[in-house]
Amino acid sequence: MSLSEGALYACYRRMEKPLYNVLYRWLWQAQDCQDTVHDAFMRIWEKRASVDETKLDNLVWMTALNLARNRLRWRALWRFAEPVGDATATAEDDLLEAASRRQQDASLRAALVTLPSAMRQVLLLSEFGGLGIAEIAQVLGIPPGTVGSRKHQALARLRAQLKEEIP
Amino acid sequence: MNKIHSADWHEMLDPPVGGLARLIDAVEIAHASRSRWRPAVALVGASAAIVFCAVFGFAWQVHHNSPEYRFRHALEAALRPAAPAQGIQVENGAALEISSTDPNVRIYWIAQLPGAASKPREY
Repeated sequence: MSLSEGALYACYRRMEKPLYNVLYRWLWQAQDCQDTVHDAFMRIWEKRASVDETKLDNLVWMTALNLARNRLRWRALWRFAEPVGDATATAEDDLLEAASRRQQDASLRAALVTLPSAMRQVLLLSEFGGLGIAEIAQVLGIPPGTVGSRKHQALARLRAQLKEEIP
Repeated sequence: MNKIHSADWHEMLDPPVGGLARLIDAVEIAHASRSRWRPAVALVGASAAIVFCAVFGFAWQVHHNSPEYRFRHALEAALRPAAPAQGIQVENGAALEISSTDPNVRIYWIAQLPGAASKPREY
């Protein structure tokens, strides 16, 4: 039971985008998200001798979510919890797109902040991580029924917050 | 609060480029740093083992050359049941012959267990 470099890189290619999208809706900073994804894979690489490749995806999710939680705690500790904007996006996109992105981010962030943490995690993993109910249940260590009900409640609350029809 | 469209809500963002290259570099650096430190760690370990052996050996030698140890060792040998005849036997104790310059004089160091009363018996 050991993780090969090839499997690690293949997993990175497969999971980078969903991971990034989940983390972005949690940390709201592109650089922090990229660092968290990177750190999660490096943590796993350091423990490669005991990593089961068949459970690699779950391990990546769990590690990344734990690291994101730690980052949020760290920010709260240093009072950096307020949004600081996203320099990467601003540099890359033109000004109108960046302004539009910030507005969307602000709306979604405001809505997500009102959700309890447990519901928010389920919603992000489901909507941005592309995980099914059974996979989320494994990653979070909760029963599939709980995942379903949390997702349903989270979507209902988000719908009310955004006052918009969400499919 | 600003309204956002459902399509925007579900929009999947592209991560910043270079993430995989960064990971590959970090893994290679981790490999390189491990192989760079391995000889140094081995050298330190070997040095520590040599120092430990030297210190332990010296302490062992000092201990075994101490008068207390030698006397205790001789006493234990004298107390062994199958000890060869020494010319004197002490009940509930032991007699240790001490070298004498006069061949006609024999000197013994006699030790007895507490409370034991016996006389030296000569053969």
